[in-house]
Amino acid sequence: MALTGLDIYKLLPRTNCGDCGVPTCLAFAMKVAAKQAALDECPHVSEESQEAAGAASQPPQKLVTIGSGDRALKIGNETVMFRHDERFHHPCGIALLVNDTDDLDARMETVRSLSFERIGQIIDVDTVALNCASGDGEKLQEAAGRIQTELSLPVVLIADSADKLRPAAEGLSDGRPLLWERGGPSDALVELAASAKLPVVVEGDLEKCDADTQKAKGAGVEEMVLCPGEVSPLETLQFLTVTRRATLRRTYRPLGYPVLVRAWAQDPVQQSLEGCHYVDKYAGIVVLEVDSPEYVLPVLVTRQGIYIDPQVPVQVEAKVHEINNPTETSPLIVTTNFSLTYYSVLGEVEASRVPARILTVDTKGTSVLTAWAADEFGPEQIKDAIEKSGVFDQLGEGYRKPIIPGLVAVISGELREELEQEVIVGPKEASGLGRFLNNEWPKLVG
Amino acid sequence: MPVPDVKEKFSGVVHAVTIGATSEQGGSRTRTVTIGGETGLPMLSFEAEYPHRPAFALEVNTAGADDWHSQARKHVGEVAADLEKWAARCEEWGADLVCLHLDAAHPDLGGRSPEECADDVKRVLGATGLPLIVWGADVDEVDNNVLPKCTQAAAGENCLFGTAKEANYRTLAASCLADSHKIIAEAPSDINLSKQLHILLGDVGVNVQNIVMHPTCGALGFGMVYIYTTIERGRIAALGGDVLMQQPVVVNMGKEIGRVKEATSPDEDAPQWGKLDVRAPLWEAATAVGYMEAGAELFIMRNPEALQQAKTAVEALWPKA
Amino acid sequence: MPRVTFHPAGVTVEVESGASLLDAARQAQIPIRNDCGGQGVCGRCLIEVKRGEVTRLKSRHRLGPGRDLACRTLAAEADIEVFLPRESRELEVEVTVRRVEPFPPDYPPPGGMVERAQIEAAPPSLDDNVADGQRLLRHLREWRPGEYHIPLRVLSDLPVRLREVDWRPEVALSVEPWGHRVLHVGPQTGRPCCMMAVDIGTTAIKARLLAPESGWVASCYNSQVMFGPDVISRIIHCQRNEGGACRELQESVVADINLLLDALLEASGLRPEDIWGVVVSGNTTMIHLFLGLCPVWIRREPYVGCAYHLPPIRPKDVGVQTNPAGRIFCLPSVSSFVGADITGGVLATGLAERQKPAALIDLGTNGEIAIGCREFLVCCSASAGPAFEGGGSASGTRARDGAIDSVWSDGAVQWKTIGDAAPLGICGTGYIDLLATLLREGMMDKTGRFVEGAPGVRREDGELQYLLVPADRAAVDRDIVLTQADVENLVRAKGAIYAAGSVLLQSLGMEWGDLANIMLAGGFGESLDKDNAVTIGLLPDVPRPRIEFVGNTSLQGAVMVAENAQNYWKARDIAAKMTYFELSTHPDFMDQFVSACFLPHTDAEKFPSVAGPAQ
Repeated sequence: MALTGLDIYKLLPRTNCGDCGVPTCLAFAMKVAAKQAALDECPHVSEESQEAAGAASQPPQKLVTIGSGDRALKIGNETVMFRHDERFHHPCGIALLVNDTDDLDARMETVRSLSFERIGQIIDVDTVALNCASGDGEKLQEAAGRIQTELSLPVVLIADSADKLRPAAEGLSDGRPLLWERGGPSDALVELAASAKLPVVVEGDLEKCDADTQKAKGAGVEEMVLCPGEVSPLETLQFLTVTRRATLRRTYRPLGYPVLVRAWAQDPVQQSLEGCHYVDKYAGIVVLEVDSPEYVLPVLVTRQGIYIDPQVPVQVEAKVHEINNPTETSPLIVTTNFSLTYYSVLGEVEASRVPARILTVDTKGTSVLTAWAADEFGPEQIKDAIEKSGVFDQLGEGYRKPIIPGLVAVISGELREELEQEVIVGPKEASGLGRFLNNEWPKLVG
Repeated sequence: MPVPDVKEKFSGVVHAVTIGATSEQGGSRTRTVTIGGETGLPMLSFEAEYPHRPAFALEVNTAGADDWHSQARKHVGEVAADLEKWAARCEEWGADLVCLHLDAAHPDLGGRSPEECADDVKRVLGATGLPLIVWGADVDEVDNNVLPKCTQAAAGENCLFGTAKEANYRTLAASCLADSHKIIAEAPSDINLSKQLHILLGDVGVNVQNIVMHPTCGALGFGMVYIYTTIERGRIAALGGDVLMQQPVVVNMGKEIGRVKEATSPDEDAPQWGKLDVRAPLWEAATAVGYMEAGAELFIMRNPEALQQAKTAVEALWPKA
Repeated sequence: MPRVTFHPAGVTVEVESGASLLDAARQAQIPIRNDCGGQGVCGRCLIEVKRGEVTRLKSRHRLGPGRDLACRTLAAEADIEVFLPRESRELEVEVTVRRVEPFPPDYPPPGGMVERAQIEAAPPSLDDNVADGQRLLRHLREWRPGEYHIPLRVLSDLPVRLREVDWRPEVALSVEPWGHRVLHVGPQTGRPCCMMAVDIGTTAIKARLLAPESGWVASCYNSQVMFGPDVISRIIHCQRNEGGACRELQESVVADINLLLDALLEASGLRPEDIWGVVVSGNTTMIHLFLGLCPVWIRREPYVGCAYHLPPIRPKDVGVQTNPAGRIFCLPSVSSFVGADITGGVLATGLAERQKPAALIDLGTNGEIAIGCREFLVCCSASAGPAFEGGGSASGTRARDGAIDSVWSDGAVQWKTIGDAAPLGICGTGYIDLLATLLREGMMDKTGRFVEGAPGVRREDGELQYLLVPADRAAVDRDIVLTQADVENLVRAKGAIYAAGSVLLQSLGMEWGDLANIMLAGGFGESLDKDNAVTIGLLPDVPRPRIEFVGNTSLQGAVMVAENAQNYWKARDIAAKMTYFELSTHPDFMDQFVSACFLPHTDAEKFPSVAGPAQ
């Protein structure tokens, strides 16, 4: 159970000395409870208190690192079942399945091509699942070595026996590959992983995973990834849910590891949809065989969405958004870049069927009044946004009259002076926009 | 130590809502569709019951399909000028329901009169045996004029009518009560606003078991995750016993897909995204599948191909009743 | 309909075309000078039309270039922007003086922030030839042990003074952070050593005279209102016009305080020289503006003020017209949005000394909530706006004679006013009652939307409103109404308060039911109906005896500090101990707020005692 602010407060000296940089002990305790500060940032906290808090704060799900360097994949350490309870922390790996018998140059080119920029982020296939189709450990090592050096991506090594994984595991241990012995891990693989200090896949149903993780842990393997094996999508989904629940709700550490799943469907459309599912519901790594962008992109976009921090106000891009094909006589509506605000305005403008432009000003994702109060949505900021966007160049003489939200009518005078253009005060609520654009706007420019 | 039993038993159940009435039930539908009834979070059959599968509706629009994106339009193009053919075709495409959108009632789209709209409803009912959803023009004054005529025209058919909104719910609620239809309560992506609307509808006499809620909709990569979380939170509250959240969820997706570049840009503009004829339906299906994961039960789609893909996915995922 | 924007307040209202700009100003609640009731006679309601077309009626006055009279200028079709020149803003501030339970004859007791000591010193001699200053200090330490400081200004004529009074002076002293300061040495006067306590609210200012047998309390609107209805718009005003605007706002509030002082002196028969000390409370921005400190950074991330603990000052530093040798003290603030008013409130209610946690909710324009007990003390701000103080509403007024402070239904909706005077408008408690009554009678739904066709509900300019008192029964020349916009403001205000309290409690791992007391403070009325406050969800549904209406605790706190210097130290401890929570960025706040913007609340189970509506 996580400690509340008051619980933590009771562990503190309660002197309000301020040495931690926070004015009062209670405020500091609240920050610790919100995970914005660590208890040991208090220079005067006792050891007993640290211990008491430590037991409660140890994350039940292990953080597993696969690969090395900038592109290492860190998965696990998740703290909640639902993103709204806090957030999902470590985006899952999306792995493309590659055989060591493939034309590696071509496959690596394919992996490179599965990289896209979306809302200012790169979303890409970030892991390679390398299957020992050759049945030759040396060949697997060679292919894995090339992928590690040429793509710098983390690698999951797949083979049907520990022997075949041994050369790559021993030769490439600095690159921290994840070892997946199908149906494993055998004792031999456990020994190999423990000595090479590599993460290992534990495959099987819940009972087998439960037993094998404990055995492997006893043998010195620290980092593990569970895998339900080739079972139906429904069973896969349930495996993902049960392991996450056992870990988080019951603090059951033998199942406290991230989960690797493969989308097994043969039909590429269904495989893609299966991948989307697993991303949403708790997968740590999703292995795909489909490699065309039209099938991979929905999975990547699903991952980008589900790992957004829901506690950070979602922003839309600060720019001019064109709705219903505006012309040089269309209205210009100014609002903030808080996504809820923007989508409310967008919805009303679309419903009005009036072609228009919406200029979203960067207010760090705050709503109109909040932004105004905090000096993020004043005459200067709006003027800057208008100038930077060049939107007036797209508007005819007599139509360069930005419509500002009625809630900030008070800035209309100054904005007019700043812009040396007429400014129109719009309705207070987005819901009034339809009527305004259809009935009042024509009169104001006509 | 044995693996801990992590089954969760919830005190709440999602209401089962039936749409459509057969001749024995006083209507003329060849079948009815029931959604809801789950006793747990989506697809966890080891702990909960899933008596009804999610249902899929195809959109038929009185304003035609001219402003639909190309990949959706290519399927409906030849029938888009004829509501009756269009509705009949939906059945062939595998839809469980038809959703008639009354966009042509919008003053800018022809401003069809209440009587004409009521006639549209009648013609669609005559052309298909599927249960019917009727969606207004999303302009309060227009809907208040048009929808009462339509509920009357469809009396006895146990349709699903939408949408009731916080600022405009009385007229539709009264009409649905009078003509015994189910009602869609629409509140923008916020469980509190949904609950408030359900309370208001309850206060004017609507049985909360006759409500299907629409938390609004965004496509994958275009606001979806907001609504995903809204639906998921609402469902958790429902199962926890919050009777105001126990309504099944509908998402009206068709229009939303058209906003996403990845789902609509022609191949020549975006070769890096792969083939449009694959991208477009898959995007719509992926959106549906995502919402299903959160708890939605009724999907209003535009692209018949996407509907097929999503139904196949449900086949593989949804627990057998 | 044209919109009229008044500067410098920046308030915009919609009016009928053909309406006079004086009416528009009244509708906007802009205090504009006017002595003849809009007859074009007095020539005081001067305005400058900056933009837009108007119709000018003939005027007998010769006005300066660009000047018009608001009452003779009519709105046409287009939007208008109007500037109010200083002359027309310098309105007569309406001061109300009320009598409350008087102080005892020997008031103020010893140990206040200022005091007078009657000293009988031994004259110097060759055996005892310490300097005059040390001699005085020696006797003061006998009078009361401690540290003393005699400033140069007092030393300069000390020898003359002491000898004039034959070594039996009367010494005025103040308590300072480091000890006592000698303010004045003079002859024994036999006059009382009086003080004044002031609460500077964003919307209204209240002052109490601390003198023997005095029961006088004076109040007026804060005339800074003409620069904007809330602290943010006043801060923006400062930002806009650099130092000059800050001084403008300072002069405005000091002028108000001097008017209150005059009124209190007149009522009590005392003289300005009798007032040796002033203790001031108010929110952080108000204190900044009173002292002329720049408040600009209060609104900008990371929201810091100039200072929260403030040194004592001289009256002439700010222009307060009490005894010039006296002292002015400000209560300490906690943060940029939790001010001295809440420090004073915690002091007055003894919150920090309680065994069991309790809450203090200050329902001011800048609402604040403190929760605590001996163990801990937390607070947050809950920007409620002026709705419960009668600001920003079509027929709102502050609590004074003629304010409708109570509404109920006995089949038909009934009301009464403070002092049973003819109704002027509706004050905070009146609004609480009115919402609860209309809700209970099924005349509005639980979002606060009026039900069309319900008795008294009518459509004006396309919007629904409720007519409470027709103009012919009112003391004002228009209907007293509740508009849909008023309801929205009130619902948002109460939602903000309830949500802020809920989130604050949640951060502590507590619930409303864990609180031994919920104290509601503020100047929004006298007759709070607890059931109605719960019915609209302003207050949580707890057993009613736990709810307590405690009045203006900011002013009470200032009084307590003035009369007992120990309380000054307590107030400083309170401010230091209080943990401030910033809710605007709290992830749960928006959710709780939306949930609370419903009557009484989206989660009806939180309000089991509130029955469903009449169908």
